[in-house]
Amino acid sequence: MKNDHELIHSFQKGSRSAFDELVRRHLDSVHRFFLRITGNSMEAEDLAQDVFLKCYKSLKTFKFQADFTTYLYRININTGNTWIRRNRWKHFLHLDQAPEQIEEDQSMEKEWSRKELWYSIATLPKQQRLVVMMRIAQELPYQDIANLLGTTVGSAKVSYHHGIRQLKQKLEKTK
Amino acid sequence: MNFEEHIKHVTSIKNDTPNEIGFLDRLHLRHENEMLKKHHVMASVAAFGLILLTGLLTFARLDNIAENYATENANEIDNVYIDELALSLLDYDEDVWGVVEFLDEVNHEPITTIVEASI
Repeated sequence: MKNDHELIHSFQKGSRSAFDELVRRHLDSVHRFFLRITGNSMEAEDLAQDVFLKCYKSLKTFKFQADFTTYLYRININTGNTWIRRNRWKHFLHLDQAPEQIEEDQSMEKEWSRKELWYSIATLPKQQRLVVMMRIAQELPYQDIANLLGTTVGSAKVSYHHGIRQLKQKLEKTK
Repeated sequence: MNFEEHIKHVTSIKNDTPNEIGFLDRLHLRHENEMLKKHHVMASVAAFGLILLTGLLTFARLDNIAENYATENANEIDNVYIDELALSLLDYDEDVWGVVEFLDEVNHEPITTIVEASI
């Protein structure tokens, strides 16, 4: 079985099936990432499409200096950030009156919703926001987060804990 | 329940992977549509540029042609008029030198007028 870089090489030589294989391989993780943020399968699928479309356009010039997954996480985070910011404004302007999917709130009493959580995450400082997003939505280990952000594991952990503390304060105010 | 567990609970999801074949079909369709849109925009810009360039060139050329046309035609009309005038004068009076003198006066009449006016 070809690894990601071999598939990208084939794609750069014009093989569309190599790109399809790459999508099949990573679709589940990308979709789960956005499902955790949006809570809506259709919306998550649209965002996953955006991510792979960006990949399709940019992989032709991929330099093979990093893993494809690292590259993909970056696109995920940027796309997720854009979505959260856009929807925060909609929320602020009361344009998103549709209720959240029922599945979310059935099992237990919720103090705050998924939307409120992500809107609060969007207000965190950049480093904390990225670390928290990668921990919560991508479930990445600190080592991978540190590699992605070009920082140390200790620094990633500190950013996460500061971020969580700030989130707690913000969300307690919304109660 | 502590805060982090609560986050996990809030962001918990059902394992709901989209259909790969359908996803890929839609992805390629979207890509093709975007490419088509991009080509349309590029073609529109190129067409607009071509029309603009043709328009400017035509305008510049027409401008020159109009000037040349007016100058050339004016000279041509004057010559024809003088020729016909000379022929009719010769028909009326066969004094060739008299006609030449008259035409010469006609030719220099504007200058004579200016000189006389200045005096």
